[in-house]
Amino acid sequence: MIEESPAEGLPEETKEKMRAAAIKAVQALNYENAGTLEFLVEDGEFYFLEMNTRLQVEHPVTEAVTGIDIVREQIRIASGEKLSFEQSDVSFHGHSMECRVYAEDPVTFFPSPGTITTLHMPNDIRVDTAIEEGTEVTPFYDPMVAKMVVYGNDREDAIKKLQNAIDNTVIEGIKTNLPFVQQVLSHEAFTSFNFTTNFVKEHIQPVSK
Amino acid sequence: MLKTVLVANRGEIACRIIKSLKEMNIRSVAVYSEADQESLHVKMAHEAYHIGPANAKESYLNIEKILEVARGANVDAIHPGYGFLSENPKFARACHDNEIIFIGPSAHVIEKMGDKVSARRTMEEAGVPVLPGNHYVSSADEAVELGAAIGYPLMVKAAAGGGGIGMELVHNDEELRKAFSSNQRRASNYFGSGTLYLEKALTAPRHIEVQVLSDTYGNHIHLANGIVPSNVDIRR
Repeated sequence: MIEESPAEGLPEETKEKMRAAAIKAVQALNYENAGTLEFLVEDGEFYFLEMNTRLQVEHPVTEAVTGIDIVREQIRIASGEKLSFEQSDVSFHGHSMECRVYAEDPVTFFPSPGTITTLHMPNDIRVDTAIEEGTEVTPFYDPMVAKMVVYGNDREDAIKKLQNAIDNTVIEGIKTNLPFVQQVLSHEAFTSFNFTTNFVKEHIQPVSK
Repeated sequence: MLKTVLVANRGEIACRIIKSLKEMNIRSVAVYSEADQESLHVKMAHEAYHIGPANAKESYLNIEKILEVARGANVDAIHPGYGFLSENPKFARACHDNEIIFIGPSAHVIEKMGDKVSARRTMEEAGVPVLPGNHYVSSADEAVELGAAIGYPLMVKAAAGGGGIGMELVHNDEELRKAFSSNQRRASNYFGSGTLYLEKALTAPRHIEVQVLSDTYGNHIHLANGIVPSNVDIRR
């Protein structure tokens, strides 16, 4: 439920090979529009996992570090326009981190539908949201109600900003996963980015009430 | 430039797409289920149309109904967001047949990448590294035989799956047999296809994503400094 860019602790050489592989893949597919290739990486080797042929949920972190509005580009491409920039125009700055806000119990992870009675979210970070005070979160769909996206100078800065942002968030009427996210953000194994896809299973115990 | 775009989604992503449409001076059309009448995406869009009951199958996944609204509202294109119909080749094809632009890749490419075995084969042919294991398995016996050839640990995965749903890590024949039958059922329920495949499992992999943008003139760029999601396991 937390996503970030850039991928730290990954050798530049591996990253470069993955980028080249991604371009080879989309060329072979005659791909059009936006997409995401997912890879597994271990011991400097990477392997294709799957491709999402759509806008990625976590596209805001890419937007934050590149300054590119991916949805705008999607619309331009669909309009038959050429990409407005070349590879050499794309540069990466800073560190971005996103957390998904779920209407769910932070202990049991069961969905927590209800009506939002109080809502305060910080206005100095990007929040992609669909909720307001009075919004009824129904049980019919995915329980994700918002994404909080921060941008910092480096990873440490981004973590601090996300922690502050969550600290300054008040959502009442439903339970959210935010206490759990805070626990992850402050965990030594997370802050030292010594984590793998098994991170939660290995390190995180349910939040005690 | 497109003049009118229908957003075939709800929630934060519908709002986010409508925001960009507004910045580009493009008319936005929202659709909503009975449960979403008061939703923010409905209020934000220039126009909004009711497309059915709360049950997504009858609303946000209802291709016929969405296209009916799209034709009636005279839209140029449909943005599917993520989830729902975004990776449904039938929907992409139906848009095309109705002369409405689907904002995404072609139905053919969606289909090819939607089947995880065909996706792996395509990548392998393109010279992109994939983990050992590239075949559909149709029975537990066949799985055990193939598993022995690849070597444990293995991941049992749904060919029509993705995002971690319908997959299980196994360490021996017994676990593989068990996982085979339970995941066949699960995959069949979730994805409408119980076809499974096996893949060599890594011990402590990191999950890295590379986003790409491609125009219709054969220009491809990556926006990748690598995205690291830490959301695997817990939600599944």
